Amino acid sequence: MKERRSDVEIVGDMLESVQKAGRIKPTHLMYKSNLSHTRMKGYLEKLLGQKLLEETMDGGTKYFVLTDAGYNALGEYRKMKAFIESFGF
Amino acid sequence: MAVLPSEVSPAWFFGIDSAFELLSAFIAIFIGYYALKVLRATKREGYLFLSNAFFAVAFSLIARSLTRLALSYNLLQADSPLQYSGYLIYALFMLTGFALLVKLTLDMKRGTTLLFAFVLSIIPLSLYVGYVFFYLGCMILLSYSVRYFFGNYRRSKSKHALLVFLSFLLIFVSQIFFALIEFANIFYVAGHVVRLAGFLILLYNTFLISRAGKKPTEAARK
Repeated sequence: MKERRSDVEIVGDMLESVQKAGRIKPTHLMYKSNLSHTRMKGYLEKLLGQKLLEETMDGGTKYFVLTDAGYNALGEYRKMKAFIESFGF
Repeated sequence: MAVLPSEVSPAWFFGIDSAFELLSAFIAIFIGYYALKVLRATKREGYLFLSNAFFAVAFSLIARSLTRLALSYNLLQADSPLQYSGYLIYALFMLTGFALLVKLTLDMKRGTTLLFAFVLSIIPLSLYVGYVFFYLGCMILLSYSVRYFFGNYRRSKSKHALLVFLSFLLIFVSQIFFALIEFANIFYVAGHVVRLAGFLILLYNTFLISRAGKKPTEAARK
């Protein structure tokens, strides 16, 4: 059975999804991050509160994009993921 | 008492062996510290064992290195209780570090007492029968890690996993050389060189990991 993701891993996956898309709609982020709407809302509040993500509007549609701080956080997450991959624990 | 390995080191290698060990210890501390960071972020218990394993190995190498340096500069008498204490610390912490990795790689929930009884049994054997038992014990313990990290590489196909596997393979091979010290001094040198190479590969992997977190360029962002 796959180990449950920690909060950091969930946030990291969300940041990865936003970075890969460039900008992403909330529903797409929910599917890419494999989260329920309620859980995603909770994490989004944290990410927006910590200014790792910001909201933008384009033609009435809401998108999320990474901030500079978000890119830094994503960088740290990728390092951690590579370390975990190295040892496999 | 058995002859301790430092007494069969070529004279020209005195000091260089300590430098190699201190460098390996520094790398082990660095890896242990990074494992602690991952533990704090992910709460995965495995990284507690991983960090402690590397810290134990680092401590053992520092103890050994300082003992050897003290001998080289005549601050310590050969065959003195202090020299044997230095060796004991080296052996105990090195074996403990490798045993922690066995516990981790086998995901042992039980049998820890037996594992550490094995560790403790090697020390009197190596002191009173022959130091080769210490290196044999290390090889037995390391073989589990080598097998696990090979499996990890096969599963993930990642270059990071390959580097960790190679580094532990080299550290395992170095124990073979150390076990053969009795036959020729050159094995002592070979053991140190190969072990350092193993730790340098771990350092290189850490360098690659730091690049994994590199910020994308502005063009990539757009």
